[in-house]
Amino acid sequence: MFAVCLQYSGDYEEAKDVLQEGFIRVFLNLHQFQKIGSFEGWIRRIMINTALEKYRDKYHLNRVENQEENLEVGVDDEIFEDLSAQDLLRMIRKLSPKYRTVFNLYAIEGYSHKEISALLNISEGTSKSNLSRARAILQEKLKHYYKITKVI
Amino acid sequence: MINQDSNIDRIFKEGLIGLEVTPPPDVWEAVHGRIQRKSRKIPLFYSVAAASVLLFILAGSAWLLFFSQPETADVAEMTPVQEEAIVPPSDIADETGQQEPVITLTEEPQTDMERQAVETSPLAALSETDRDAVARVEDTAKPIEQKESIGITQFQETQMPTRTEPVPGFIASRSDANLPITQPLTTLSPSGYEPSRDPAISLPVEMPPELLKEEIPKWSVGGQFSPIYSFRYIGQNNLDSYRDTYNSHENGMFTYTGGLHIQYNANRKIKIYTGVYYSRMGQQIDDIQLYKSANNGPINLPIKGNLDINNSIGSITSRNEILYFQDQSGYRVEPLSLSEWYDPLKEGLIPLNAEIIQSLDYLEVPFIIRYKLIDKRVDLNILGGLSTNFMVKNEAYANYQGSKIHIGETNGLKTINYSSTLGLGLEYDLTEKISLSLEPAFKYYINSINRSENMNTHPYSIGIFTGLSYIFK
Repeated sequence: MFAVCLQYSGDYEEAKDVLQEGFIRVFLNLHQFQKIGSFEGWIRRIMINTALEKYRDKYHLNRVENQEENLEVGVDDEIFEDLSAQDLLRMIRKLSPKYRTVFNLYAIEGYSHKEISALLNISEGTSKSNLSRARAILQEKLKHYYKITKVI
Repeated sequence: MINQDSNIDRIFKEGLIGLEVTPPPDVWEAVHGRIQRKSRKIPLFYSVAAASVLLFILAGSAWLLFFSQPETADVAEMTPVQEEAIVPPSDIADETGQQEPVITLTEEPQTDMERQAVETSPLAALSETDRDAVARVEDTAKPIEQKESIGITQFQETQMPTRTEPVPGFIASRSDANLPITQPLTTLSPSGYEPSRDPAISLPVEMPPELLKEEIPKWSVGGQFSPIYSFRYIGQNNLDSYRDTYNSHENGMFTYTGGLHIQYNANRKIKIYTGVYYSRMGQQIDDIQLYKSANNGPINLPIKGNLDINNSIGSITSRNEILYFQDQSGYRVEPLSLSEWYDPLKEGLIPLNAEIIQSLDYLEVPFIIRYKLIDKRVDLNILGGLSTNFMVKNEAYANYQGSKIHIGETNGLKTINYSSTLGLGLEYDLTEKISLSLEPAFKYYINSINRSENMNTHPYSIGIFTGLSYIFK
């Protein structure tokens, strides 16, 4: 679960907060869990909701559409020996919050742009553009990674 | 090499499956603290009486809770229903067979990547119990299906079923609550991670208490009080005739006990406590008629020395010169010969409608172990142990119209006695540092309290102890 929180939070401390807040919700809402489906999936959903709530609180109040993000597409210092899950996680976490959130919801959780636009209170167009931008950045990073591994 | 958007999605989606990152332990502590605070809505102090009433109610509801809720939910039982629900209406279902959920296409051992994730997790920093708890949570995050490689493999989009999981918290409470979360998710990869469709996940719902583990407070101090019913058991080496006489003319009595204790928490389950308790034990002796002199002066008996009242606990020697005793049912008052030719009424003595109370006070040093059977909001403990009891007061008195008339003391008693205790306890945390307990307990003196080998009497008591403890944190 902490991995999920990290996936949605660029900041380690923020991920801790999300995990903590999420688990508190889990326990306080335990009676609402209807034993249909997996408990783990239920917890995961709560974690994501908590992370999204934090995201909305943090970024959405001062939302500026199409704001140019401070991107780090550049070279990572580390040389990957293997494309591990942690490397992937690191790549996602280096995305800007907007791109990261949309990418997580769309690509990992499988929400549609319509759902994402409702969740994050943005337009579908913004969701789409954020996603494609996120993809582009990640693609750059992957290419970069593969280049490194090829050299090695 | 990488030229499709969906492939990027897939790389990340599959790559992140089963990733485990161990959170820092302080998160659990914070969660525990917050849960405790939120779940505690009862003000700190009314009075001990009010708290006792509350505890009775809580104890009742706790029992209801224990017996009405299963400890674990067997998710496996629900799996068949789940499987039916998750077969998507696509061609893939036909290919993989109706019995198999779509997502269990392959069952491979963990990939290197996952093993690496496990190995590099900072578990060493956690305690054993924390590690268990973490493992139980994180285990569930392991999907059945593992990817074969990071590389781009064949990918096919398919229609996925609707998402129907209950989502408490933020979504439900928001104004935009009508989120389209029940819409079909057409964008998921067919091999994607969908924990809700994972039939292998059989997770006990009882898990959370385990997660709440934190450093257990080691010490607590507190006090307990209980009204008790005290009586005695007459063992076998007495002459049978005496035993029957005593049993038919003696009765138990209600007294009290109370004391202070210090408790050491050996672990989550076991607590050991000791302390100092004051207990009043004893019995009531019936069917002995009391008389007093008309002028409240000393009675001139035609014998020298004191009257003795024999009973199962010992022999009470009367030191009160204004009282005379006549056994109406046998030969318990000595000297026996006196009753044959001394008539108290003729001597002008006044009969008193009084009963004789034989009271023995003990200072008790218990050594008791509490074992926690049920760890819930109201804990259920069993307790047992041994106590050393020092007799500190020995008195017999007549209970006459609500006042005590001192008679004397019981002879032939041991001053140091050992008792065993067995009980059941309910414990409820009023605050983080103060807990309330309610413990029905039975105490039995394992040695005969009589010095004489002809007598074999074992006092016992039954009480419901109410206590408050202060926990050092």
